[in-house]
Amino acid sequence: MIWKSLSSLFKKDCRMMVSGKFFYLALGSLVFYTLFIHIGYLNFMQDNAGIYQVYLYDPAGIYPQMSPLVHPTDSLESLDEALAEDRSGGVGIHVEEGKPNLILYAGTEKVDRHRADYALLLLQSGSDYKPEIVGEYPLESKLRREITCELLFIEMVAVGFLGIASVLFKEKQMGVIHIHAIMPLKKSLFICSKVFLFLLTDLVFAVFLTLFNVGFREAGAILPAVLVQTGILSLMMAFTGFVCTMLLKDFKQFSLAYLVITLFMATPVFLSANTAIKTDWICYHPFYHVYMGLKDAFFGTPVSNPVYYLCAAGAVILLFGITTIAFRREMGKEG
Amino acid sequence: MMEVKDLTFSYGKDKQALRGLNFMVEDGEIFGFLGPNGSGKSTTQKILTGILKGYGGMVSVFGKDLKSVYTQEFFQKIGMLFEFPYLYANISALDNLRYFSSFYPKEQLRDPEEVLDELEFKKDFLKKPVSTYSKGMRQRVSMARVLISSPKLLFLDEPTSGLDPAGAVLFRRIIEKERKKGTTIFVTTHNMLDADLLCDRVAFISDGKIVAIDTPKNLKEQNSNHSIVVTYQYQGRRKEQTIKALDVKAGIPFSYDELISIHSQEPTLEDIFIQYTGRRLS
Amino acid sequence: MKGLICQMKSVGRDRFCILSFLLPVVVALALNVTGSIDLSSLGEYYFCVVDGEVTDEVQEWLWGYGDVMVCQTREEWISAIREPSTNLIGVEMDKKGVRTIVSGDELPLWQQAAATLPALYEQRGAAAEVSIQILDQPDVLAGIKYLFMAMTLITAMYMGCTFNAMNIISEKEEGVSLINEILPMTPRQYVVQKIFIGFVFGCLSALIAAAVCFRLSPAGAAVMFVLTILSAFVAALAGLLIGRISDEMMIGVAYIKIVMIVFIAVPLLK
Repeated sequence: MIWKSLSSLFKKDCRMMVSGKFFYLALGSLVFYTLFIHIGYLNFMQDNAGIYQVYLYDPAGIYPQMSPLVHPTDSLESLDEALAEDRSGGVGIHVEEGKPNLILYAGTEKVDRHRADYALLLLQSGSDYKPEIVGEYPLESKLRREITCELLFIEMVAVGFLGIASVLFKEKQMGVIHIHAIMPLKKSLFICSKVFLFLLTDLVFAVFLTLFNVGFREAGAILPAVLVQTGILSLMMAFTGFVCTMLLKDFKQFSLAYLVITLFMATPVFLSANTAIKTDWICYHPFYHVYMGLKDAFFGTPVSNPVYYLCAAGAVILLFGITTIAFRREMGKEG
Repeated sequence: MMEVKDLTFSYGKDKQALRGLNFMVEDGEIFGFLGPNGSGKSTTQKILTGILKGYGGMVSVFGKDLKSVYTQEFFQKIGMLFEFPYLYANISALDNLRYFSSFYPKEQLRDPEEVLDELEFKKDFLKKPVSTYSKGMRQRVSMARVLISSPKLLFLDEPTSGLDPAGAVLFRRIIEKERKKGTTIFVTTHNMLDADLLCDRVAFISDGKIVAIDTPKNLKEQNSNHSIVVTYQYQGRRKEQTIKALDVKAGIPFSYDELISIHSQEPTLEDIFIQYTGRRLS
Repeated sequence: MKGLICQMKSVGRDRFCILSFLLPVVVALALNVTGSIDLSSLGEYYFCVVDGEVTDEVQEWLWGYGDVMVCQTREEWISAIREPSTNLIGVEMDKKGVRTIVSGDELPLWQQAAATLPALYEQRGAAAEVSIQILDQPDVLAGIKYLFMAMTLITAMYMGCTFNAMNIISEKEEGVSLINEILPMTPRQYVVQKIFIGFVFGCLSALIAAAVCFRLSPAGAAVMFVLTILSAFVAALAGLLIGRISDEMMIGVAYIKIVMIVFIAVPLLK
């Protein structure tokens, strides 16, 4: 009887999602993200992250053996112009009376020192020294994994969370939750059916996003770990969405809450996880650990610490309990 | 079928909704709960259907304490018609019924089309989404949802709300038919006509207390002023006079040329309710 | 006027709406006051060495270019270099001087820095004999902080867009829009009623956040005020349009998402 009830609920929820056009939104997101990664992000990152340009005005030709990376200029004015338009933190060298004079716009003290030394180095002929590489992934692979991880995280935190709320708000509005209160089915099945459906949707989304953007060959190795982390995040967001729907009055309130969560809670996580900006309190941010788990999965180093999984399971169980309480409270309310 | 003793319930510290209700509902009886908005009707119904917990007193349903009988089997035996027609608006009546009936054992289910036919639901709309239905049609589908599982105990909240007179008559007929099958029916309403025509017994509830409980006939008789209004023709003029019913034993105590009509001045249930509570039903 | 007052009352009772409009102000305060995010670290180099395998002289030299992280073991060292969220350049000694190790997934800036580091070590001190003219320029890294501030302001205005769109869509779903159709209300009155709240609160939120974040001259403040009013108005109108063309919530959310990306992408791309 439980399986029959669950199957009825599941079919009904699928129908609600289809009529709510949620799948179109998910498909649209998938296409948009894939295009963004392939056409925009990768090209932008690789084109705009080069080292500082070096411009040389050497009227006497003191340095004929300079590196091919140096850009010679015809005049001091051209040198000044090139420096003014430069966006890479460029350095100008004006050779006067046989001595190089460096001109650069201020950055930080240490970076300025490096820029100056680097520019001087390029006055000698270029070196073909290459540092030893100990990593497993080239730059493009790293960028793909990173951005796919970020977009998957955003998608689950934003769209999945929103999807379950939109379906539930509809049911709340229709009043059919009150009918489920007097039907012969376990109330938790109502919750489980929805959460399971969204979990499934998120997993499928994760599979396609990873395959299309990380690459079919590389995705194979990381997909199991990615799906585990996706599952953890999806469950948390689904329950959170469920609770918010039960507690908040209408979708308007919810959409404002959703905006707050996605923008203001996800931003510190991204900053800490993807840049050198580290804040002291980030370790207390629950999203941070989940995001790092997802990121580690994408980079082939899935979390192996059992404490992480225990905490995740604990969080999911706690959220399930809160959801059940909120749901029962909603069932008892006046229509 | 159902027994309630000293039932109390409050929504918070200052919001006492029920203040010690005591009543019994026999098997196969149509029991009415009459009261204005905020009197505690819905709260009582929610407690009896197991939606609300944390009540004081004793409630027994199907001969067992409600706290122990609150299982799948309990919900398989009851049906509830809510005040508003809660349905999935994006699917059709048939799909709604198929969905809701899928949770009940097959052996107790009726054919959805047959139930809708009994409720005189327009066949053209069977497969159209509920969002296109009128209020009356939605009420019919809601009633079908309740009847499709052949419940032993029915809870009806404002059953004829939103129906035209013909629809209301149909619903009353169907409720009577259910009673003849042996179904016990608990009706909450502030429509005195429904209560008068349908209920075997009614209870008046006001501010969380039952102020009177009896058959509609007894309540009216006990509170009647036993007067009758006689409309007659006398000397070419139409006249009306109110006399005591007992006075008619000896014949009409005044002169007349032609009797046009005789009506008893029986109080309505609403009049009686006002008498008991000092408040209107709605 | 009565209609507007009713709308204000309705929002006033909705604590969550009020909180949502106040949140950008809170974030602006946080960005301005706490300053716990050290943005200067974004442009600098990070080196990693194994304790005991690199001389003090080399470490001191590396500190001249950036921060130096000291690992206790080689395994820790390799692991730190491989960490994807940083661009650590591993440094160790060899016969000629220093050699560098990278993970291979760095952006070209750090790859080139690693490639030239041994040569820089060989020519260390050369810059001491050279004149260096450092010109002033607006702090690029402070610009990132202002980027966050701009995004906060835009979010404040975007709240107005979201609020208006959601308001209209929920009216459609509840059937209240049908009542609006038969009211003796001119199109102008309708537009004013619908965008008023989102515009006013989005504006207020953005103006307060701007007042908190920026120290402007009177002329600058006037320009900021006008720009905020205009932007909030556009955002509110966008919300009205989205509400009118969306049949239901999810479609409205999709449109709002697109608008949000356009709103927020502008300062990012700039």
